[in-house]
Amino acid sequence: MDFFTTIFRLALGGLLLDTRVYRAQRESPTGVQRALLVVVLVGLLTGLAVWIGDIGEYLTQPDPQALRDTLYNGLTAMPWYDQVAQANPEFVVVFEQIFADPSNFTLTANPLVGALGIVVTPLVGIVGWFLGGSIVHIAARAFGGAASYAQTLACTGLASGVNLLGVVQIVPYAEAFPAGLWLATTLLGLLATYVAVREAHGLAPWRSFWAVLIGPLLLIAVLVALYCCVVFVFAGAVGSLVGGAGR
Amino acid sequence: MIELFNGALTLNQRLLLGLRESPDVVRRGLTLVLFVGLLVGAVNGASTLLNTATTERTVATVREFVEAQKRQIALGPNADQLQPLLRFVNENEEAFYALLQDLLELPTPLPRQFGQAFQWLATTVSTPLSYLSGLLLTVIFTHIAARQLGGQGHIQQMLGLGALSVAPHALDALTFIPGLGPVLGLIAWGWGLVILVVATSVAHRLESTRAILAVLLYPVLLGLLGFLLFCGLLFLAVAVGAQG
Repeated sequence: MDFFTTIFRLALGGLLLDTRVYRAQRESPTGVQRALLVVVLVGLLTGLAVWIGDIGEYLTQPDPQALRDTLYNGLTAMPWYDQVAQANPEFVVVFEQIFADPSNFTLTANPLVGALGIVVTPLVGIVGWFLGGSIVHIAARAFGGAASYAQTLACTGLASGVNLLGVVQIVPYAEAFPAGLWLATTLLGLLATYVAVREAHGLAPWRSFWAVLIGPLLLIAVLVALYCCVVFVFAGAVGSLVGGAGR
Repeated sequence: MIELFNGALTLNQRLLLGLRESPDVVRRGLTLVLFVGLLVGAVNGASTLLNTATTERTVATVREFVEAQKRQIALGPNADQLQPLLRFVNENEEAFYALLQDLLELPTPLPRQFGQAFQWLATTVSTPLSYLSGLLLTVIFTHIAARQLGGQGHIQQMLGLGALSVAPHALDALTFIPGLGPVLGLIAWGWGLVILVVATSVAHRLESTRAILAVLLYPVLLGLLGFLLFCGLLFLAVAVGAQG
């Protein structure tokens, strides 16, 4: 029990940007192991919370088939349906196709899929920690940082403590307002990583700031470049098709 | 907590200075955000719960909303152009309310009251997160500007002290009172802005003018950028329209 309390306190220290916890983590010979346990424990707690929330939603939502039938009967009974169907017979075909596809009416949260999240969330957390920690370490060293790779990982692992905010999803429908949770986790995660880099590498604030931001900025630049390439290729393909049809 | 809440609202300098030097500055600040968020969320959730207590009540609430929108359109400057829309709504609304009632009365594994209780809880626990995300966005930009203007504070001090600016938003709990909501929202926003300026000044040891500049710099810059972008897009649209 003491073990879990210690790991939970570390995660909470990471969430609350407690410099004392980050410094202790930097000096700890078992820092990486403790960080790994924080990432796994936070991932498990979040995954479990989401699953419980999904079960709550499942138990308070109607059967998708009954929902589909009610919606179909109600919409076709409205005056607008007959008016549109008379003006445009193709509309009826499209309408029937939409209602014939059950995947359009899967409102219910699926606890089976949610159960997978208990395993997947810690795994995603570990991969994200290693990737993010590695990028941040390279950037911090480039900016003159002095910490070892293990010290960087030990401190950045604590930053995953911010994912404890996701435990709020234990309440069904809490993710009905996902923007708040996502934005809070992302921004607080960036701040926690900034504190982790500053404490691990002993860097000046501005250097720590750029060491943390350079990874996400590069990622955004790569994604924008990829998007532009896809749009360019797509526009080229459409242009050549139109040109070919014109000839 | 209550002392911190009152100190934030009254801009108590001694409390702000004490908080700046506290090693638990972030924990105390975020606890205040949690307190205000839960209070506002619980009241607003309860207000929604009262309006949707039964299926009849939910339909009546939606009906009231639609009627208010119809009155607004009928009295608006584009009433003539929007007559087809009003006619469409009038022809279909009764069937729509019947459909809504049928959907709400569909059986669920647990009684409907459980779903409503979950919705209330969800509103309650999600509101602190909305406040937190807004606060983080504000604090990060203010902190960057303050450091550029010579501020000396840490991000922890800025976050903990900046969190006090959420205190006036306890007024948001009263926004369910008809007609009073926007006024209270405006008061809370203005009061929060003043607290943020004082918090920035204390956290970064900046004089008031620089603190005001730090708080306003990036919002004004982003606003200007947005305005220029809007003007550019408008110009492009007009140019393309003129060519067409």
